[in-house]
Amino acid sequence: MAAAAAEATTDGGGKMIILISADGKRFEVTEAVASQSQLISNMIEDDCTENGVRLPNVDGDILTMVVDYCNMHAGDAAAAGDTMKASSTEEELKKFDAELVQALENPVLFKLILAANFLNIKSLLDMTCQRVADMMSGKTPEQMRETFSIENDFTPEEEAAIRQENAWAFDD
Amino acid sequence: MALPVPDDALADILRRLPPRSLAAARCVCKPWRDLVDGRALLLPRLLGHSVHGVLINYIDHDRPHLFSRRRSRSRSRSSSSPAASSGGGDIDGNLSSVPPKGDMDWWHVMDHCDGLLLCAVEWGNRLCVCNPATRRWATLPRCPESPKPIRYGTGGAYLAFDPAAASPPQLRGVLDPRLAGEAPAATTKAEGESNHRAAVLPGFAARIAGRRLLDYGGGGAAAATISTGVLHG
Repeated sequence: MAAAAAEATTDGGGKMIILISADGKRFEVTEAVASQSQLISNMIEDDCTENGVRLPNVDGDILTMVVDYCNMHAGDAAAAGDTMKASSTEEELKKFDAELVQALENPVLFKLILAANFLNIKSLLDMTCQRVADMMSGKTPEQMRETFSIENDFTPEEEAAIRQENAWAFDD
Repeated sequence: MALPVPDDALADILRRLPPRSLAAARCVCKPWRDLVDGRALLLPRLLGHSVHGVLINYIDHDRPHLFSRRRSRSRSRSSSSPAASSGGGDIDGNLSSVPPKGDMDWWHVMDHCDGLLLCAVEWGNRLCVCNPATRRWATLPRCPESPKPIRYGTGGAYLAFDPAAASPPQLRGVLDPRLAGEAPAATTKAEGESNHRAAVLPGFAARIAGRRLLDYGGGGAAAATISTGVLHG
């Protein structure tokens, strides 16, 4: 079959899936790794991954992070490549996750949220959303706007009114 | 512009915020406000979802009744309450023990909040806060700000709690809209639409089954703002 070229087989016997980013970068991962994405898992079930999975709204650099994340969390040494350890303890995973999201600039963090949302990778979406929530927590509306470069589109009267509605949040 | 993420993801983010930060986020920009309001992210933090019972005030009958399921797991029973620790805890539907019989003939329930009842007692001349589960109660002092005694009808005073506080919610005081202008004023918003000017009845502090009524001090400039949907009635 012509499709066999894109379906390499690892020593472990798991099928390999090719992911193709918006800018044409190709990533070869095992089914186990790729299946952490509910989207791809559904595609595997429907048998439509033979020619590689094109992800037109995920850039190569973001997909690199996603693949790293999935490799780490699949605990699949064969697919993880040379840079990853054979088995990841829970502690290592936590450290990996923390370092992954802490280091991100806002635009990259939001792209990662978009990718996790599109690929439907719940744990990655949870982690990235929690990171943004942590950045918001305890801030005033002004600080939130500054942190995320959000334009204040309220008129002064509207803003006074809405702050009055939630004035209990501005005590102290 | 707003965050470059889909609404579902933004809602996922906002849902993780503590109430104060969520309220602050609501004031950031219109898309955020619309999302918080449209998905009612803030209200579930403030209001319970289940009905534990119905309180009925009667005309021409001198006491209200409570209709509720037996042994409902309402939050009105704290684990430290005498009623709960003695194995009891069912609230008597006749509310016969609160307020105590005797000098409190003809009374009715004006408001309730997190298991506490605000009652008009002594023929409507005084206010009393009761916990029917623990059968404890406290009569509130007369409002020092009011020049003449207030006669309470079947409405007009409210129990209010601080929606930003951790659970159990701490009662912030008793609001009486008719005292507006005579006492430290608080702007409240009931039912999401109409604005009421209301006064915090100052000068009391009582401990009822672990819940604290915050003392607003002797007529100081204390003011409270109660958010949409907190007030009942």
